Amino acid sequence: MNIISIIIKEVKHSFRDRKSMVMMILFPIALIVVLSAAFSSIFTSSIDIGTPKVLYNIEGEGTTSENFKNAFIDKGKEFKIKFTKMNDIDDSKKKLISKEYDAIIEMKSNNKIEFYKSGQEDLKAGVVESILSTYVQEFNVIMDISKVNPSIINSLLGDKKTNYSTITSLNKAVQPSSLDYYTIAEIALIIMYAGMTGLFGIASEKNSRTRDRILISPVKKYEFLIGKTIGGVIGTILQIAIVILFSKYVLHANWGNDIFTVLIIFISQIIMAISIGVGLGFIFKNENVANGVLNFMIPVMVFLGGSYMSVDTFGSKTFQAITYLSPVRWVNRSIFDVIYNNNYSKVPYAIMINIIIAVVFLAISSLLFRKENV
Amino acid sequence: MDIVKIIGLTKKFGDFTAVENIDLTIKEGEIYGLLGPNGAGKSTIINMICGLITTTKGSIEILVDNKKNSNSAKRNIGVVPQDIAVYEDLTCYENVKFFASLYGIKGKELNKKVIEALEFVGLEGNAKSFPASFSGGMKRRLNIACAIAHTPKLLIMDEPTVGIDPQSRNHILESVVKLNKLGCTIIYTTHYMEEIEAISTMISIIDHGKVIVSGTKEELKAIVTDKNTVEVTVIDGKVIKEEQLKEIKGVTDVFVNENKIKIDSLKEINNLDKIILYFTDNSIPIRNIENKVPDLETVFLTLTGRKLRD
Repeated sequence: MNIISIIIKEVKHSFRDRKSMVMMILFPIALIVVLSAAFSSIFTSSIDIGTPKVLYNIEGEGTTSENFKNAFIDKGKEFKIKFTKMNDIDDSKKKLISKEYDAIIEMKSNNKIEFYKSGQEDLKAGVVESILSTYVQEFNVIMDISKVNPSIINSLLGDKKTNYSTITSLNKAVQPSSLDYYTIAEIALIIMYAGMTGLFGIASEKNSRTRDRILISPVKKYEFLIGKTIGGVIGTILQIAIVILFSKYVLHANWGNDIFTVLIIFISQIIMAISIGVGLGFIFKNENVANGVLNFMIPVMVFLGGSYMSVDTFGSKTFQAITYLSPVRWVNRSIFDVIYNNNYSKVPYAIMINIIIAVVFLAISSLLFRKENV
Repeated sequence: MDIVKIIGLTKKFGDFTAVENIDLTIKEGEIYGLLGPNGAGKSTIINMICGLITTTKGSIEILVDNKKNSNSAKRNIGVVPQDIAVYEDLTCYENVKFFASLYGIKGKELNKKVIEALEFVGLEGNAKSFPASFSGGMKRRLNIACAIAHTPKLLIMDEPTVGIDPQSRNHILESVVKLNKLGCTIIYTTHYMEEIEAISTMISIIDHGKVIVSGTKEELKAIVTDKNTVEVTVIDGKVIKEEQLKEIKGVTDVFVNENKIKIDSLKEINNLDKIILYFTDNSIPIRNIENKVPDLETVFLTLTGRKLRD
């Protein structure tokens, strides 16, 4: 009962402390928005080259030209190519030279395709040329097959599938956008700052003498310690929940298909952060010194954790090994693995590391509190 | 019945002895005043009674045979700390409710007790206000409400009136007497002699961590004086015949200082009527007459050679 009273009080403190609300809710949202916008290009894996504009003409008639019209020209929209039928080849070439159009495709009456582009370095024309080349190769394969088995030519040409090629890449898995990355990274960052809630929760009770008042009552020291810690954890969970909901439904950040596991990892990190703060509140009698230590620890841990920038491909092997000394690194890496690779191998480690650190700091707090002449 | 029994209580902080070999017995229904200057050791004694600090030597028994840290004893103790120990971001009501809830009170009873405590200190109209907007006096009253909501048998008040206006001080002193009449035993520490004199039924004067003297205020005053002094103010002091005044039975000394005449008499002889008769018989108009009773300040001064506020 006493523990519950203290927990309820702590949650009230969390939501009535304007500084804490700004720090734990508005600050991470602002960080997510600003950093994801600032570093969006680093996380983009595709380049938008714009819409290639192509003039075309089909002189011939018959199955081949009809197929070319249906399977290539009419499907242009799917490739973001704008095809315009031309009337005069000379006039069209002038438009090509003046860069008004990117390419000309002319199918002669003998089904021969001629391709003109404005210049060697024109990327849009190159893309069109590449798609055309793929189409032609596929068409030629069909023709070769029909020579062996003429009966299937119609079914091959009638096939509506337009998968001219299948893109295979080593980097096949879905990658986070800058918004997706910084949503996770900044929440992990701000959770570390919840350590301040733990620290000042202990220090303010001591300074305002309310701790004495509580300990004069039939509240045991361990009840006070547990109540303060759980209260801080619940308060922070509720604050972070607001950030998560905002990022999911307003910013539309990707939280993957298993948000439950992600939340469990974050909750373990919150328990760790609050416990570190509480522990430092007992280790250092002067709260300013404790605050200084916390303010040194947090930036180092979040930097190594990749909350300022991704450290996945950064630095040497030694640096990579060092990054895993930070619990934030385990949190970030395990969450990204869950969301983007469906890989849960790091989850138990991340949670275990957080809980072990929390237990160590709470044990220190408990010992020092017991020794205190209060 | 003894509510608190302290035997040979000593507290040392390193080489410094804050409290030395104190014996105190506080009986049920008393308002026990601990009077002493700042740094005398009053708060240290209180903190040891509450179990906030450990004792170096000696024993403290609270509520007959309960140990000071037992839950049963703690449930029956209320403490008004010297500092205002309330949460600025909780409302007046929430503050009292939180502290009362720590004593195992819950539900409707909790709400009832909170409202009663707020009514008692006159803050029922400010239940939803935050202490940040309160005056010093209102904060002090809230500080008291937080200590009495669970209706303790023993209320310990450590300098509860420091830094507040006379009106709030009077309100608090009246509250203390009212609580006492409701059956609450009170330990009241202060360095304000007038407060102790106004409310205490028993007093211990403390200095340098030691109890100098204990007793009722009458007993304490009796220690330092064996005479009564009357000071009469007249229009013209030159007409006074000192020898005639000294002839009145019991008068031992007469001092004339301009228009003020100080007359010392033996304590056991009540001669005030005869002194007044001297002035009326000799047609000497009296502007003022004052029975100069020694106060606790005088007691402290006599016993320590220092003033209480030194």
